Amino acid sequence: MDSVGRGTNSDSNTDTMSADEASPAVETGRRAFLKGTSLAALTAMMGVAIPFGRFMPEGYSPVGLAHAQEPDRGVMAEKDGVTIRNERPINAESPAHLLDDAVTPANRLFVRNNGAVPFHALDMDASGWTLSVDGEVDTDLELSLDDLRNDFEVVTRQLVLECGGNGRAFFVPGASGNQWTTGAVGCPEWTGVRLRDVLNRAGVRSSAVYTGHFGNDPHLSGDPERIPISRGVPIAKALEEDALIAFAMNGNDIPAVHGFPLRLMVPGYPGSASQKWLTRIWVRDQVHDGPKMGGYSYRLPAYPVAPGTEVPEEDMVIMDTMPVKSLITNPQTGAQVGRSFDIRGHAWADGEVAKVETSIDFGQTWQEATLDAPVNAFAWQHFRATIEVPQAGYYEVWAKATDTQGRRQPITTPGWNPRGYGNNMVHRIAVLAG
Amino acid sequence: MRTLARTALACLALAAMTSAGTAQNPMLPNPMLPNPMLPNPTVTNPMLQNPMLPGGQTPAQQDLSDIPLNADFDNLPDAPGMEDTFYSCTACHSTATFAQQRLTDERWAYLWDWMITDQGMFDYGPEVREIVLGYLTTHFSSQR
Repeated sequence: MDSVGRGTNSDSNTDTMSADEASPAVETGRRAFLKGTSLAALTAMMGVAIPFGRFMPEGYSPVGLAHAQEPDRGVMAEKDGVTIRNERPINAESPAHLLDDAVTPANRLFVRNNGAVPFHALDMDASGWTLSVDGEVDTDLELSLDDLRNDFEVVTRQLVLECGGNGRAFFVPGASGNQWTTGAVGCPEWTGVRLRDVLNRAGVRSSAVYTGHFGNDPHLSGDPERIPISRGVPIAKALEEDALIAFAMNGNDIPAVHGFPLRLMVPGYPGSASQKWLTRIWVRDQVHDGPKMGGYSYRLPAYPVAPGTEVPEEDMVIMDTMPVKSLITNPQTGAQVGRSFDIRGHAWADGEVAKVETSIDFGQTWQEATLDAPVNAFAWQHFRATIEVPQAGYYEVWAKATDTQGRRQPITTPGWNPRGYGNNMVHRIAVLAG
Repeated sequence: MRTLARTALACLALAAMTSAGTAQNPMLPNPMLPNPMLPNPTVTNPMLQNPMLPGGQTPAQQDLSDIPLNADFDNLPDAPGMEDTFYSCTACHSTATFAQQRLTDERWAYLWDWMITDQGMFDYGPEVREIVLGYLTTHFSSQR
C-alpha cells in the first residue's frame, strides 16, 4: 500500500490526468491560475450556506484539472444548519442550539477535514478494506472489516469527539487555523472494537512508545505521495479500554465525511488523534512524526506566553488531553424568555464532570445545575437548570463545568497560544427575559 | 521650617516609592484595557464579544472595514493584490482557509513558507510572495 493508501478502488480522476498535468508544482503562468480558478469558481458557485449536493450535477467530473480531486459531492447534503468554516477542505460546525440532542446525529456533527474526502468514501464502497497493524508488535495484522466484526468483542459507546481548536475564534489576537466557535464537538454513538483488543492481538512489545495512524484521504495538492494528516497517541493511551476502532456511527455506516468505513475514536484527546478512513496503525518505538504531529500542529507552548507571542517551534509541546468544557444548547442565544425559564446543555471532560454551575450576573454568583452521570466513560453529561431572573431585561446565562479533578472552565480565554488550541472558556448565551 | 523640610522630604520619598513601585513591561498589553493599536479597540477582550450577534460572530468574522468585496473573487476585499492572492492561494484550498483568519505579519510569512516547504505549494517567487503577503497582512491582520 502506498503512503496514501487509496485501497483497492482506482482513482478514476487521476487516470485521466496527462503527465504534464500530474503535478501542479511544475506548472507556471496563467494555465495554473486558470485551473485554480475553475475549481474555486465552482466552489464559490455552491455558496457557503447551501449543501453542496444540490448544486453538483450528477456525474460531474472536472477532468483535466491537475489537482483533480473531484469536489466532495453530496457529502454535506444532510448537514442543514451548519456554519461552513471552509469548503475546501471541508470544515463546518453546528451552532450550539443545534447540538441539543443527547446523542449527536450525523447531520449535526461537525466536519473537520485536512484533505479531500477519499473516492471510496464518496462511493460508500468498502470492498477490500483492510486495517493493518505493524511495527513494534509480535505479529503483524491485516484485518478485514469482517475480521474486526467477528474476531473481537464488539462494543457500543457514546464518545465525545472534539476538535483541538474548538473555541479558537475567541482568542485575541487571532490564532492560526479554522475559526471554530463552540460547535466543533459532538457525542455520537460509536460501534466498533476496542483499539486495545486489536493491539493486544498483535502483541505490543515493550519497545512500543507511540501509535501512528494512517488513513486514506488524499492531500489537497493532489500529490499522491503526500499525506494530509497522520497523528498518533502514546501507547499507554492506546491501550486504555475506551478507544475504539469504529465501523458504525449511531447504528449506521459511518458517513463518508466522517471516515467511512472505519475510523479511530480516541476520547479525551484532540479529534485529530481519531484518524478517519483508517487503513493502518503503526506501533512505533518513538513519538510518531507523521504530518501534523510536529511544528505547531496540535502543540502548545512549553511555557505560558503573552497573547500574540511568536513561540519558537522547538518550544512547542504536543497537546494531549482536552480540557473540561460545557455548552448551553437550549435556548438559542438571543431568545426571548419569561422571568422563569429552563436551560439545558452538555458537559464533558477528560475523565468526568463533577459539577455544572450557571450564572446570570456575569459570574458574581453561581447556581448549581442538575447534572446527569455519563452513560459510559467519555460520553458527555447532560445538565439542566431553571433560571429565575429578578426583573425583566437582558441577561447572559453563563455555564461553568468543574471536572472530578477540581479543574474549572476559565471565565475568559485561557493561555493564548499561536495555534489557538484548548479554549475552554465558559459558554455564554444571551436572553431577553420579560 | 523644619516641618516644611520634613514634608518636602516625605513628598519626595513618596514620589520615589510610587514611581519605583510597579515596574511595568511596556511591551505587554494590559488585558484590562482596550488596545488602541487595534482597528476596533473593543475587539481586544473576548469578554466583550457580544453573544447577541447572529451566528456567534467573533471579531475575525465581523467586517469592520469600508473596502468593498469582490463577488468574482469569493468576496475578497477588492484591493491591490487580490487577484494574485486569489490565484496563487486557491490551487489547493478555498479562500476561506485564509479569509477566516486574522494573523500577525510573522505568522502569514511563516505560513507562506510552510506551504512551500511542507505542503507542496508551487514557489511563486519573491515578487508574488511580497504582493500576497502585503495583501494578507493588510486585510487579514490581527495587528492592524
